[in-house]
Amino acid sequence: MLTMLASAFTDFFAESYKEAFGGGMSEAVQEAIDPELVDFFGLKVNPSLYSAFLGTAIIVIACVIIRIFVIPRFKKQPKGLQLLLEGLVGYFDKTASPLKRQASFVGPYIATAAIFICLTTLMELLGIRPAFASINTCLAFGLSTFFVINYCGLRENGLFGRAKRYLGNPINIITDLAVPLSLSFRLFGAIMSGFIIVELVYSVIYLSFVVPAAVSVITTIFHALIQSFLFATLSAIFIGEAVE
Amino acid sequence: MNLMLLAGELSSLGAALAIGLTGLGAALGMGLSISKALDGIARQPEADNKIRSTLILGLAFCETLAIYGLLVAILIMTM
Amino acid sequence: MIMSAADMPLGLNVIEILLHIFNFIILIVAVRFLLYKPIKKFMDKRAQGYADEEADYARKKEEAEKMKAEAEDKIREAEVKAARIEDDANANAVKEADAILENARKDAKDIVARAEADMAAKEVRERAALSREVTSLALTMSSKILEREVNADDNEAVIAPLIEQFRAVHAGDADSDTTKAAAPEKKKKK
Repeated sequence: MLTMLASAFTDFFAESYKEAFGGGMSEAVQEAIDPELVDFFGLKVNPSLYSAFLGTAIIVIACVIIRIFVIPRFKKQPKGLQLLLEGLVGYFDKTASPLKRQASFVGPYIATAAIFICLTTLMELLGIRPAFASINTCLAFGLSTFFVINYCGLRENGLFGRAKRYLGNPINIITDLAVPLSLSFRLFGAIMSGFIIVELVYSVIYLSFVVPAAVSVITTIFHALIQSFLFATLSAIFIGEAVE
Repeated sequence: MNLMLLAGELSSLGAALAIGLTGLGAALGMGLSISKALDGIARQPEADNKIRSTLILGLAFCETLAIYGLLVAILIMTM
Repeated sequence: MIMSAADMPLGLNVIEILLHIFNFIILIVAVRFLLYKPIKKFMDKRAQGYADEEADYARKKEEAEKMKAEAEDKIREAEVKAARIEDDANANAVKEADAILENARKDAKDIVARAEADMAAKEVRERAALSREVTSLALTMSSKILEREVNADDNEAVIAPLIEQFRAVHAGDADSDTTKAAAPEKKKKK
């Protein structure tokens, strides 16, 4: 009798919950984690690939426009857009400056990564799926950094210097292999969690009016800036470690 | 009770434990590092910038662990 | 080789990773050559320009300071020279003034001496004129008194005590006066 009553109560509660919040929560999370694959030249790919291409297109077009229209008009006293660009370049140049010979390559590398991460994550505000909400994108970036670390290490220390690091202390192999995984999983987890939360908020009709404005500040803008800063800084630190 | 149902319920319990415990550990670590950083800033306000950037880096490392927990939880729930 | 996305956890896909890396490489090349390098070149050029300007400024400042020191030396020299010239001029002026004063004193002495000589001559002349007058007066008086022609001996006899008396009156005068006073006597004797 009592168990019957309890089950009736939970059933009622579940029904009313579904009625109030639309009942699309688990579907929304499922959609965010495992989206429907789209076609890319006969290959089934995650829609994040298209987001990445879109981000690349936007950045390249912006670069061309800036190169043609803005840079020839640079003045000695920076103002507006010039100040922003000079601040960005100056910051990444300063971050990469301890790398001496490699700085001319590492500076643009971390600058590109940071700009791309920031932009594609901010595109979430427009309803576009963030590029880093797919483990493939994050692994691609982690592996890129891994390649750059080893390339710079080999260029600076030579094959023997690089081998000595691993022969002298074999645990370094695991440390170095953990670096790209750590970078990519951090990126994926942070941006995916923010994306899931935003999807959850939007899946509930009652919450999709004012609440996203507050939530997306924390989950999207904050994460975009922090993760791009972290990726750039950690890449610079790991490359510097390999160059030493 | 069906055995499969039990396994499904237990897997969600595992996901909850994964994210909960990693969150606990990460929160403790973050709290500790922030309190130490505040101590340092209070003692030496001129080293503000250096401490802040190092703190953000350290917080990111703490957060990474929590994110690993989240990743494991997502893996458990989707597999 | 190609794994389907559904088989792997979280949709892991090697082809997709390679596509992302390819995408990223294009992006790096674009950003590096279109954005990063030109801005960096501009900033480096500007920094170099500022450094050059600063060096130029330092050099010019040094030059200016050297020139200032030289000018100050010159001014000091000129001041010393001016002081010497002034001293010389002062000494010359004092000497000239002394000479002028000396001349003036000499002139004054000459004038005084000449005036004294003139006065002495004038006195002698006046005294002679006076004694002549007195003599003629005495002659007239005596002729009036005697009411007769007085000859030389009488004249001598009468006048001699008078002249003696006259000389006694002028006894306080200098010897030159007595000699001069003797001249009219000789005249009267004739």
